[in-house]
Amino acid sequence: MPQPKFKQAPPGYVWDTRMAGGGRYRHILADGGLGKMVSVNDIAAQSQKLADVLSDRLAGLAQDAAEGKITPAVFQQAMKSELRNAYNANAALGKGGVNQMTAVEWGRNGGLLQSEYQHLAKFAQDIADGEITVAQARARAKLYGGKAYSRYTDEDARRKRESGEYTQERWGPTAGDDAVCVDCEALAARGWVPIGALGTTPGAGDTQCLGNCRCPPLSFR
Amino acid sequence: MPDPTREQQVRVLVRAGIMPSEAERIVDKAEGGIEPLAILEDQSVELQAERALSWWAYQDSVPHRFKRLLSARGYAPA
Repeated sequence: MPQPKFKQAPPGYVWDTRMAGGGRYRHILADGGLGKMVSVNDIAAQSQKLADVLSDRLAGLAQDAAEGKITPAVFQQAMKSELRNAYNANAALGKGGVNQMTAVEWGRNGGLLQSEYQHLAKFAQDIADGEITVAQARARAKLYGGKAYSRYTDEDARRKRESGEYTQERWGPTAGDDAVCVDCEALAARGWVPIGALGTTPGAGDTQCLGNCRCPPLSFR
Repeated sequence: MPDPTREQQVRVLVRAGIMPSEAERIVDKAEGGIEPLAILEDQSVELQAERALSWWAYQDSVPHRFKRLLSARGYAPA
């Protein structure tokens, strides 16, 4: 059976499978017609903004728990809920919309979340034991939010690698300011490398900035 | 210091930006205390997708156009 060229993507967009790298988002016009392409930078900026909003929210929840406004158990469940939704939304964004998600991507999210939940159980227990300050709790919670961004960059990179259309990938460019970590600077300095040679994507936690990474998604050619 | 009540905690979560129905579910689920190990809920893919979209639409950073579209399709509050 022939595959449709346009698939439902996040509302307001369609996923055009004719484009390079496995597809691109396009706007839907008010009359239902097909609009212009959505730039990759716009999508990445949305994902980063969602991660920023999430990080602030998680930091607020950690503060509420550390100050006794919610119990550590409620904090744990709230964090789990927020992370699950954020991972799913970001992965879908990278894949081309929820309708492009398969059991493979859902499963990948599940595996990563399971690992995060283990850290989270320790985090909640540390708050219950009074072992961390409010400031420490806020900083620790923010890292979880930043990592959600990597679900976008990772699925975006996987889709492009699997398309078979590219031979090289590149990290960056970085923001170039003092907040950029040495690992991201080093990865960006490598320039174009063979597909898969970078071995990670922004926000995945493999760089010194951990979940605070704000480098753009990998570029491909 | 006594633990906050269920209602107090729901209010805190909603103020933090979590949808009211989700906040109630979270507080009720936490009644058993901290889960010592990772437990992944048995959720259907459809439910996950719906939650992902709802969460997405609920963020302040998402353009209003998205929110209206999602709301019209019953995915999220306007």
